[in-house]
Amino acid sequence: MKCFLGKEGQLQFQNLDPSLVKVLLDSLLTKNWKTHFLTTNCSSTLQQKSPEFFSDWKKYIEPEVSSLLGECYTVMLSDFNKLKKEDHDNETEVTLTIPLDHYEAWLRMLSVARLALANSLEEKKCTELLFRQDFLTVLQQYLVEAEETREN
Amino acid sequence: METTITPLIVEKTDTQSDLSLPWQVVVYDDPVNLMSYVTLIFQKIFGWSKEQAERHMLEVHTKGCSIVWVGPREEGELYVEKLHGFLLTATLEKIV
Repeated sequence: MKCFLGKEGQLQFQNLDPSLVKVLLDSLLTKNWKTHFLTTNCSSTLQQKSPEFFSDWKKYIEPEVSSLLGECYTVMLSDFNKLKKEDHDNETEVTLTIPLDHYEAWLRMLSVARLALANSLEEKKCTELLFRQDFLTVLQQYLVEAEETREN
Repeated sequence: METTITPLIVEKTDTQSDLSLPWQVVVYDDPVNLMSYVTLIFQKIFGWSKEQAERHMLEVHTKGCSIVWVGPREEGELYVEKLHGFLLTATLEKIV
């Protein structure tokens, strides 16, 4: 896998093996994960640390954040729909392009998936989940660095 | 004709006191989000320099939490919403 930062700020992951693409799709395109953070992490911390704020959060903030994450999911899906596949010597290589204005959506969705994976890993440690977690971490780190480059 | 004047009693509600008291936004540590990611998000949300964002990120990492903002409740709610939008565990707590 090679990672390039394009002239227009787009981040391109080239020479992706189809098996890695499957890992990405399996990790990121599970819709019910998008609310996992809100229903578990946030709810329990707020109930414990700030009970006087919890009901307002539940009523006003949780739906907003959930809706935002839903929009990010759609953005990410649109990039998956534009995956470019090329065949070289009986091997298929895939290119994933993340446009500059999609960075934030990807950063959020990678965090959603990584938090959900961490919860799964607490219940059951297995090589496949650890590999997924590491792979998503690498992608997120690339995005963070690309975003820092852009802001400087 | 006799008229009765009823005194107007204004009750002080919890909401009024909540609005006048300062609140603080606290970010809590989690074992998943990358340190570089947390720093970037602090810069984005609070407009901090990288150094200031890193100081708060390290405080979260080493002490378990960091107070990232203090002020009126309504503004604090917006910050919490933004932090949750980036999957950071944050609360809005009343300063007592």
